[in-house]
Amino acid sequence: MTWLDQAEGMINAWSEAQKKSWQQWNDLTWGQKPSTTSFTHMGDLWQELVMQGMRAWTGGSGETAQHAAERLFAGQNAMMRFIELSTNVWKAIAQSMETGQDWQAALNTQMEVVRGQLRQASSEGAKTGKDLNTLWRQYLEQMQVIGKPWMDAFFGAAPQMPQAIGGDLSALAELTSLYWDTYDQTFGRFLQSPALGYTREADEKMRRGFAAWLDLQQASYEYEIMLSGVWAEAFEQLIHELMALSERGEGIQSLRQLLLQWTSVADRVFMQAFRSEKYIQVQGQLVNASMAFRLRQREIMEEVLRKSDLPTRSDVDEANHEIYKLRKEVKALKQALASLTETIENGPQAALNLSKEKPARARRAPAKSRRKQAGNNQ
Amino acid sequence: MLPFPMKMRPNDMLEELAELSRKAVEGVKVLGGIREEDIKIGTTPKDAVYQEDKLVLYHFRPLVEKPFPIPLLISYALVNRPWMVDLQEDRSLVLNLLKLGLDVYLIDWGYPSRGDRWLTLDDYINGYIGNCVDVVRKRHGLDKINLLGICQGGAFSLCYTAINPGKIQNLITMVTPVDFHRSDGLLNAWAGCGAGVPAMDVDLMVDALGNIPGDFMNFGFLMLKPFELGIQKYINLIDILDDRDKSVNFLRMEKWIFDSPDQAGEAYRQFMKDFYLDNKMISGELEIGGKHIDLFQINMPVLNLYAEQDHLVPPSSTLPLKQHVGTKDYTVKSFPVGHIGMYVSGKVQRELPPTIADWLRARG
Repeated sequence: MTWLDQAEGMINAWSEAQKKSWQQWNDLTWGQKPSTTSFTHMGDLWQELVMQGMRAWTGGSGETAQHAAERLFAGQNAMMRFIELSTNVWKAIAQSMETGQDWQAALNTQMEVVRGQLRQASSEGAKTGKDLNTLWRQYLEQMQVIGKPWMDAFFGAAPQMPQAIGGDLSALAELTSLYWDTYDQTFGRFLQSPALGYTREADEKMRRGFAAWLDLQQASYEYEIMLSGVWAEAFEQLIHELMALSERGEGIQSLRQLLLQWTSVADRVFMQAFRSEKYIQVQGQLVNASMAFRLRQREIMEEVLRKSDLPTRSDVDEANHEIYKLRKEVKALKQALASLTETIENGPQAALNLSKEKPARARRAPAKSRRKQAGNNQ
Repeated sequence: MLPFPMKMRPNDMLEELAELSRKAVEGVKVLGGIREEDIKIGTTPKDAVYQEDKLVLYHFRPLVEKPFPIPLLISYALVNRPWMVDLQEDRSLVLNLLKLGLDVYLIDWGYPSRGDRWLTLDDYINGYIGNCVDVVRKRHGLDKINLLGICQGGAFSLCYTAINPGKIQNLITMVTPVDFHRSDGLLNAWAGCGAGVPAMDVDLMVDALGNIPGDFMNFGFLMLKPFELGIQKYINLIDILDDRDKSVNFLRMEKWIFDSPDQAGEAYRQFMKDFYLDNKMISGELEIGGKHIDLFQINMPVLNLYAEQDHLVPPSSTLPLKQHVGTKDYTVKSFPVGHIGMYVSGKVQRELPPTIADWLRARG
């Protein structure tokens, strides 16, 4: 049989196997035949239905067992998607083998397609590259603001905020008047302080929040791009190893063996990537951007909570800190009291025995300097 | 032309996947019948003998009439629950030590809440560990007890013992990081130590999160081997789901793995900065609660146990302990397993408890 024949045979068997697999899961959860004949759609639909059904099926079991069941399904799902990708790549390689072309060139071409798809998926998820107005609206959609007058003011500020960020003074004035109207509806009637100073602070927090959110989108995008590149590299490495097996006259005897080969290669490639300075830097940027955004978000939330006369995270942390310090002081006092009580009851020697410590040993020179000294003495 | 590397016949692939799916479907039915109360860990009988804040000190009920006179206190890491040392009856370091006649205590750190965000390493080491040591000493009328520190708990035990050498008879460290600037540890690299590149900002993280969520720590551990731990493990699960006992054993591990407490913010900040980033424990610059940590003050016998295939605490991080302690009675022993294998490997469970018990008895 030619490469193409074998690859197509594998693909056809795989399609059939997937259908049977989904049918088995379907029977477990719903016991009904699918209503559609399109395989791709069927597979996606059944995944969703099976997950819902499985949760219902394992609803009476413990949380640990439920999670394990979900991960079992997810693991099988990941395996099937990997094998599906493999079959597509094998078909492309097989076609080049049939025409006498270099299989590595065919692999490179196919992997560029895969990388392109992964990059596109990351771009669609990322919020970068869009205009400020769109980004601002998306940012507000993600913010959960407490207090309707302020929520309306924030959303009402949507057309003005990007311009205000860009330094448009008329937009800033309009923004200020929005806040002033809202402020007037809530606290303005009771306070005499100038609204302009107050809203300037709120504006500044919103601007910082928006900037932090943009940084987070950028960092997320860069991280996803990096991960998708590593993923593609891992898959490419797998194909190389499989071809090396073929050169030695060996081959993959079962799906499980193929999966084992894949996980072994993937973990190795990912480990290598994870150690790289570039990855550490990109991961660090993502974590830092997430934390910075969380802090900015908290500033805004606390601004709103204070308006609503509700306690904030900072208030609670401050209270907890005071409790912690007091608790520590009480423990120290209790210990001192116990020691005094021991002295009174058993005499000074007992207290001395309790606190007796051997004098510290003379410190040796640090290990590095000992080794250096030994080297100098030779 | 090279032969096609996929040797499976299409029908074989069909059958194999059908069988896998059948097993998976049957497996979900088995999982559906397992209740949370079926998955118990840490079941060796014990009594709470001391409580402080969220900490509980447990004393395991001895299994011999006259246990070894010097009790052993176990100090586990903060990042997981301590019940890995008592996972199930046939995988319990604690139970095996009890059977060998030791008298065992264990510190359960509890689950830090937001109110514990301000706890420092001083609180954990000079406070909690110190108080637990004093409680055990008082209960047995002893000046000194034996101390076993595991992983991060081992680093804490080293610090405590360096400050209080007069209270520890024998010290055992197990899979304990000592030198944190070792590039073969991926956790070390991610923490930004030794690589010279900017990594995550620990101060920013603690300021933003307060306590570091257990899920965040879990995610980091899983990412060390994402495919093996995220996919392969659950595909392999299919093979044992027809055996309920094996399934429950698997779920006990799952329960422990994902039951990670949050990390108290200030303690996490100091541990990451002083230990991981600045490696102060062996540079001699570490201070805990104003007390200087000098490992040379550890002058009692030390047993250092490590796992040869440990990807969390690589041997290169553990072995330097010998150069820094002041004892002349230093023993090191390794086992051919990974970090978790030290507790769950059947072979290790046959060898590790007698190693500890015999070593302690010889130095009673």
